[in-house]
Amino acid sequence: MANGNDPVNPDEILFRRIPASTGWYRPGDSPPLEPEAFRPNKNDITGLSVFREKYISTERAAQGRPGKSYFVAVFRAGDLIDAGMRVVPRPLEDHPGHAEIESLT
Amino acid sequence: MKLIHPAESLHDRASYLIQGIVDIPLPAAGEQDGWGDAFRQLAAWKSDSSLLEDEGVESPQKRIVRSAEETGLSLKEHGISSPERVVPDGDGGIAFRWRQGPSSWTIEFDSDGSIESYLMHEGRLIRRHSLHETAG
Repeated sequence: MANGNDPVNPDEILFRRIPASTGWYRPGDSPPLEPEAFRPNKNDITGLSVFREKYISTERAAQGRPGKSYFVAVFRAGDLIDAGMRVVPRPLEDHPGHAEIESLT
Repeated sequence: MKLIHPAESLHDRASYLIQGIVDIPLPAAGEQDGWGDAFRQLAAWKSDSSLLEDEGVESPQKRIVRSAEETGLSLKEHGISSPERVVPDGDGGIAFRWRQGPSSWTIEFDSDGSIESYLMHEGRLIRRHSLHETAG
């Protein structure tokens, strides 16, 4: 497997972790997702964090802080690219599958 | 474009912020206006900031929660129904959001004390108003 620096393919599946405590995702509501779940915060200097399915399972992507619960949004890289966004690999030491959506920040 | 408006009183502040909803017919607040749920949510965040602390999520400080509470009370007095959603913005702020069909109206209490209201229609920004804390 590559080291995480390989370009993100449009057919790749990406994950975005959403803390359950925020209420940004509420299954059953219409729409269920609030825009804050994909809004860069002051720490997202270079881009919005996502994880690549080719490197990480959904279950692993859903693991954040101990004792906290998370939802995982699943989407296709090509849909973001088609909308004019850039998805770039940004591997971390403990997360080779880390990538960022650049054009939001 | 950000607008600076010297709204000093809570009444002035609410009057200014609700300019954004003239284009969407929000239901008027009735007996079951739902504000109780919103205030309970805010009170919970104020009493225990750890409820929201998470990676990439900054909890709102008490003064921001108080600002949201005070503005909420004023909106209620203006006959505005409770927001459909009360959510943290992730950067230490709070957002009230109402929806009507393809339109949404948001009042956001930013961590720096400023307040912004904006109207979106089909994902496009239609109108935005900002209030900034006065110095001193």
